[in-house]
Amino acid sequence: MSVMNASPSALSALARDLGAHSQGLRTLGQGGSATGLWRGLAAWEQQACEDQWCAELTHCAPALDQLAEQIARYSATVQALQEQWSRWDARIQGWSAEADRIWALLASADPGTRVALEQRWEELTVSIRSGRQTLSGLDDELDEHAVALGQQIRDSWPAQLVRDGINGYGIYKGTTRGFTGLTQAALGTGILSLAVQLSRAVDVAARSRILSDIRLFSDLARRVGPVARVPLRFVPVASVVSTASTAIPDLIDGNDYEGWRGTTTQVLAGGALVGSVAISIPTPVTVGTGAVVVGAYTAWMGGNAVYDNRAVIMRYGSLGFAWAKQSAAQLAQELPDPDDVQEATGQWLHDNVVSLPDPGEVKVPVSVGLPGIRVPVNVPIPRIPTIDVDDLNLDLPEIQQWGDYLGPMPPIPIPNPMEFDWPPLLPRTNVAPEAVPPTEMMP
Amino acid sequence: MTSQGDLAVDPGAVETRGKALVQSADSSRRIGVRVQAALEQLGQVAGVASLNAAALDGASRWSVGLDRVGAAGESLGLATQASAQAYRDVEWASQSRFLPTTGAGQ
Repeated sequence: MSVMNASPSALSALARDLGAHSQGLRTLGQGGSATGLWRGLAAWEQQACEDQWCAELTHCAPALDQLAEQIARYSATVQALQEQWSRWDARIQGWSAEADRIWALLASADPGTRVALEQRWEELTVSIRSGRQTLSGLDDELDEHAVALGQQIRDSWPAQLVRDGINGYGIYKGTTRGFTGLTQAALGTGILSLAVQLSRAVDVAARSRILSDIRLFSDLARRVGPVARVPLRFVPVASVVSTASTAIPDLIDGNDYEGWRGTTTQVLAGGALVGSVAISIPTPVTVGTGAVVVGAYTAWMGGNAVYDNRAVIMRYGSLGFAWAKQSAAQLAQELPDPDDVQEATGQWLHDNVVSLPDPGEVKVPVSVGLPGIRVPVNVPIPRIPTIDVDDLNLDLPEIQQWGDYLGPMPPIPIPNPMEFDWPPLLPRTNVAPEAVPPTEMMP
Repeated sequence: MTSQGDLAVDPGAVETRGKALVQSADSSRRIGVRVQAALEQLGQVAGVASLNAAALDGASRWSVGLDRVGAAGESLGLATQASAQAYRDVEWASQSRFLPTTGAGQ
């Protein structure tokens, strides 16, 4: 009875639904037109990625159309088989009824008639058996169509055309990260510069303006990059470590950097945690000290982002390069004396850090998972990271290396979209900038 | 609109484009779910029990595949929105009297 269990109308409706979904994919695959308000390499790169994504959606549509067509054909086959099945079933019913009547007459039939009736009964029995075999054959035929359709459904997803993961997206995101890194580096340098100006300013109005700018820069730095977010209500510092802060994970793991990069990241992150509180406290002395360490941390992490994504930044354009180079030069001129910074920060720590929360009570927001699939989770800290004043070695000239490493402004390639071979994202490395051949920088 | 050398950006337009991409990605995922539901239903109306496993298998492939494509589109859309924010930050910071201005945009 499998033939009659099928529903041609429901199958046809499903085929129509799939056809509609195919049209939906085509519509999405048309994408949006490029905006004239966004030009340059980043816009070109984004457009290339978006075109690629739209093409993948469009590639799915014919496969879905084909599947809909196969299901529609299966529906038509079911319809035809059901009509045959109904005709044969009616015949069998008629033969069965006639055979029953003959069987009833046989007992009272005279010998001459009885022979003819028995002959007819035999013919009907053969016909009924044959008809039932035909019905079974129709079921088998439907099974064969179903097997073929099943295979078509299994193979319908166009895996060869749709690549799922698109390397270009990673490149584009690397560009964004690198660009943000340039912003961070410049902001950090700006904060450092402001701290130096604050220490030199005597005029009250000028100091007030600089203090205001330090707070503005710090707010912007919080938004742009990994700078401690320590609101005023968490002062005193006993609560600083329990505050949701992107600097805390860096303090613990050094942003996964190893060697001197990791150590410097950890030390500066610890300093930024304290320094961001210092900025929040409305006394000029603490603001100046806090600004130095927050600025150093911001510039450092920005420099790291630039370094990690240097391959893609090379294509970004003149603004970032000019800015980063200028920032590095400014930093070299106005860098505070690291000994003074360490002494002032150490004194501030000594005066303000009075207690720390118990281990296990503190949970740190970190992200886990694979690249591109990061999930935020709260992880309890097994050990409270303590900030040892003696370890606060603010080796600020290291920051300048990132700016120096950028070297001269390279030519910006405007590649043919069909020919350009995107370079791979460079892996994180602990190799000092000086050890990398300058030629690697060239796109 | 900001004009910075080879970058000429209206961050609002960039952000709108990023949001549109995220919406398209979401739509593609929803289509994947509907295709999955249709193929799962197919197993019930095809009249052949053996087709059910194949239909479920195909349904899963379409759902997972379009979900991945959607995830890629969402990722691209979010990166585009992040670009818009980066442009805004740069624009804000570049107007500051304390940051270096020489060379920028040249």
